[in-house]
Amino acid sequence: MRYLIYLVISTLLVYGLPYSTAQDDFFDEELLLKPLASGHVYAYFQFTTLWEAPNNVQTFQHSHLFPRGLGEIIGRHKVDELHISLTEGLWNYEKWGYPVHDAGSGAEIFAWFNKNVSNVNNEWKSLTNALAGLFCASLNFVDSSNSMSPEFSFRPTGIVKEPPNSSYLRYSSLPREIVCTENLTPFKKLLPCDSKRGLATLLNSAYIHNTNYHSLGIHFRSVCRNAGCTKSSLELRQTVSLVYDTLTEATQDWSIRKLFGIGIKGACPLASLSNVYIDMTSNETVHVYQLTPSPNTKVTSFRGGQQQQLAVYDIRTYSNRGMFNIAAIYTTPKTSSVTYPSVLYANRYIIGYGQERGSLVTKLHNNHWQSLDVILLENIPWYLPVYLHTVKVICNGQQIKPLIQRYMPGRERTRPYYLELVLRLPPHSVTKFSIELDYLFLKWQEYPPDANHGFYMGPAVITALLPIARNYTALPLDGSTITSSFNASRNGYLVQLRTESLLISLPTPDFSMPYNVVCLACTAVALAFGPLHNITTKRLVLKNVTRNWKKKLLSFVKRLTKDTKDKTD
Amino acid sequence: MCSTRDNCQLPVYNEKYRLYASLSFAVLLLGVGVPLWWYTTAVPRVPLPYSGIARLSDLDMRISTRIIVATFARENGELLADEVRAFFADAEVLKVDVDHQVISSNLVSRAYTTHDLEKVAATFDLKVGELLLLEAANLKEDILVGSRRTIYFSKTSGGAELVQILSQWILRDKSLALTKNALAEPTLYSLDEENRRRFPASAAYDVLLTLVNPDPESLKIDWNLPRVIDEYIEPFLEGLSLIANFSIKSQWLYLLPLDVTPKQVPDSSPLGRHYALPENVLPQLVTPLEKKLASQVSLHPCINLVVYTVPCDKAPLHIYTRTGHRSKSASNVEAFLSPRWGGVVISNPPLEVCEEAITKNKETVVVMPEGGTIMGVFLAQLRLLLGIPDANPIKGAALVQLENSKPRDWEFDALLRIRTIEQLTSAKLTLQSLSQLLKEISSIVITETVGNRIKSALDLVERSAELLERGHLVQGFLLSKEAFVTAEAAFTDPSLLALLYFPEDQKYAVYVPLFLPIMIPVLLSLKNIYRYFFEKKVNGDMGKEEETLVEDSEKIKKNEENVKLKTG
Repeated sequence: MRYLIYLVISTLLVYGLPYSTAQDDFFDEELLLKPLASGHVYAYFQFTTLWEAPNNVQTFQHSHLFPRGLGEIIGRHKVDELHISLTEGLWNYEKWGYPVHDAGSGAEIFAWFNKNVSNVNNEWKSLTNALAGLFCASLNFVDSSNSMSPEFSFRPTGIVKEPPNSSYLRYSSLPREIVCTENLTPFKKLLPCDSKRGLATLLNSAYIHNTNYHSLGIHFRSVCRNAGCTKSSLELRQTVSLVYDTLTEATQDWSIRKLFGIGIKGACPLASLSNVYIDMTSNETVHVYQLTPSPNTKVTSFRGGQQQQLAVYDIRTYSNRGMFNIAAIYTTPKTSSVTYPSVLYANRYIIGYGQERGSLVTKLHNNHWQSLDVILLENIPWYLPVYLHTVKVICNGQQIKPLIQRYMPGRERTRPYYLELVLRLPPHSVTKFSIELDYLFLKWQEYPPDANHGFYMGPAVITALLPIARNYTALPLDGSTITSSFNASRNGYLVQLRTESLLISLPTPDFSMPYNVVCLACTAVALAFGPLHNITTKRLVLKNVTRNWKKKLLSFVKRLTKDTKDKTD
Repeated sequence: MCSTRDNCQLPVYNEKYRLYASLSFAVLLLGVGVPLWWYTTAVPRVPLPYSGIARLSDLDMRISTRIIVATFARENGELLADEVRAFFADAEVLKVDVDHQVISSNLVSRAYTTHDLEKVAATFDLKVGELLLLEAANLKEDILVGSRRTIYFSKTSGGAELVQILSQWILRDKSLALTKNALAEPTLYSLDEENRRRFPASAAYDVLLTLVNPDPESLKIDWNLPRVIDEYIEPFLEGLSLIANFSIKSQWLYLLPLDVTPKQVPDSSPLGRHYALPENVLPQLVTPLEKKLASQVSLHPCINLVVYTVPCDKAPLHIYTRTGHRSKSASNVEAFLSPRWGGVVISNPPLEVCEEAITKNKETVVVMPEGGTIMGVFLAQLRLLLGIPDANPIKGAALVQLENSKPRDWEFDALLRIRTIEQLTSAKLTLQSLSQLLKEISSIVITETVGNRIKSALDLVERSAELLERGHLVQGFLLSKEAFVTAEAAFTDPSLLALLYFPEDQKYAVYVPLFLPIMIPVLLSLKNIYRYFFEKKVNGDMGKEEETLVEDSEKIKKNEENVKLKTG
């Protein structure tokens, strides 16, 4: 009942306070704080812009709350859907559950292009170049040699008119990308309130970049405007995911000020919804803590067989008196436990020795009592040629046959190796996927400046529809704000796990070698050529020496003295 | 060495074989090796029309303009035509042809309004770039400049004023010459104000209208930007669509305060104060704006038009000139222009609204900006930024007021002329500096595409100049635009940089160890080959040569004997 009232309030907030009569877009800012069982605190910011307009170039000419820079790029390249993530660190699925947005470490980008794009590769290249400038990220290194169009793993999350055709999809990851302040600043500039008001004031680089995991995300898609889906709106979600480690601190207590270095000053005046949610599900079971100040409302959400307790703070009601802070005070000593491990998680590593052959292993853990169907997408760079006949999927000592298999061999310098498998994981099992690979010897100009550091290989993507929502936080496909994930029971819960990105050391040459070889070879050729030329063209002939060197010297001196005499005369 | 005497009996044969060996070495290395090396390592360079590009400096860019003088009396017309012809005889860029016609006075006698006059003028079939000087009977002023391509003058008006109007307002011969010279020799000529304000030539522009609301909590703006743009700016830019492609964009920016704090000045208004923004801090306002405008995502030059709405607690905000005077404007709008960047309009809220907010203690006020005034200012700024200057007043002359936001036809023609000259000069300079660059740096690759672009740009410049000379302004302009774009594309082609950073010393490091030890013996052997073939041929004519040869063979024989003695 309380939740019902809350829903009414929130809809009133969304639709009762439209900012201006002429404008047709809304902005929401939300923060979800979730103490994890492992003793970490997961903070998830989401800034949502909804724009009641169709996706075309004309729309993006006149923007209000939607960032114009991004809008112009999206419109110019006819992008239907765009997802970018810039991540540092690895999300620990086993201990932390599932994040709202999955992201592989480094930069990851995928986009669906419109059907009337004639040359998708060109648009993709210029889109990534433009975005590289907008976000100060190295997305300009994305090209066809590290992009692929997976058939099953990525489906459009927004509305589509026709069945999707994966030839309009491009996916790429840059695992070497390092995420830093220079990416956060342009990210904040896209927000209508910048970082001057609202929750975005909490995004201080010093407190963000010393977390265990941080990820920036941009997610753009078209969504339904009404129940019948006769009209479409544009949705832009800007997300920041952070994982703080509270166990290393003196006390396990945490607060907004401790996590972000500053309290909440007030809501963004342009936002129609400005909320902080604290997931209290683990309170009283794993941890025991008290929240101060007490929340406006408490929401109980039932989702996929799981009960969730949430404390809701509406910033507007608290910030009247100035800056405010939400603190969790723990009454029990430090605890860390894994109560219920996640249903599905995975890890990946390389085996083998030497710099010639190796093997790539991905382990998939299914902790559910039922079998699970998963899609495994392996994104293998072209310099690691793999052999399809060596694919082994083994579970409990038995070989499993993939339900569906898609493979596109890579081509040197133009295309990565694409392998997508649909597997059925038996209940309570560990399935091991392995494939053998070679390490390629590159051209000497293709090595990066620090060649001995090694090469990164992007993460594998494991997609599954989980039957239960244990440790699940993601929003439903039809929802835009965090509120939409409350009581959102669906048939399945989509997760897209990213595995570790691997560091691979390819055989690295000595880079002074080419010059040494040139010099050595030339010297050898010259040494061989000289005598050969002499033997064939000259003959040693003995010459009669008429005078010995003393006489020669004498005559030379005589001549000299004669010359000087002549001159003086 | 020779072991028996028989073997050494034919030293000439032996010498022949040795010579053939060194000859084959020389042929193989110099005849095959060197050309092969040259062919495989040469920088690919397409031949370019260097002489044609050099000839561009002498290219005479002249725009022919036809002026028709229509008078009631023949003598009057001839006199006027002669005066105009004489004035423009030594114009640098223009070539003015003056015709005169006699019209009957009752044709214009019934024309009282400018509309009627325009109707009469329409009977003359005027092309773009042409002008009509039409004598009219019922004029309030001496001279009236119409909004099409006609100047109306009365019987009393003198030729001097007409020539002045033609030169200063319409044909702008001085400005054209300066545009051309300042581009070609920027150290000798300094730009005038008009040239400094105008955006450099480009095939497309983005016009970005930004509304800045520094305090959305206390100020709400109710304004439909797309509609206002459609009403005011779109028709104006449509009128200029021949000159460039314009795409108009708009955005709202919030929480972007002024970087300077205006000074509060008490006055007698109901609010009892206003805020002063000195003129010399205005440039400082542009820089913080620029950071948030996101104009860098545009592919073309971006003309920024910014509306800064002032919240009530800082209102009204007025600009003070350097001399300390407030600019006098009745409306709530103040504006300034930043050359080649755009314009800023400061829009104050109506005083009544602020007064009401203060007395009733309202937190937020809703303001509807004066759309017409603001857009009028933006249109005036756009005209200046695109190169349509305001006409300086001339005594006795008047302009027909603009009916809509579209520029007058003769203003459009003047802009066409300026742009044509600008584009042609700039294409010419681009081609010349590119050809100089390519001549000086031999390691630049010239691909087929770049070569073709240079050739076609050169051709377009020449064709455009020819068309202008013949008086086809529109076609000449279009070709000059194409030439400008093609020349720029050739100059900025990334393939030019392909080998630029390959240093010479690395080449020597690779070649010297190979070539020096091999080439020295081969080159030295050329001397022997020469001596063998040429000196042997001539020994039939000269006994001396034969003697030396015999001497040589005797010497060899002696040597052999010596060897024999020693070995024996």
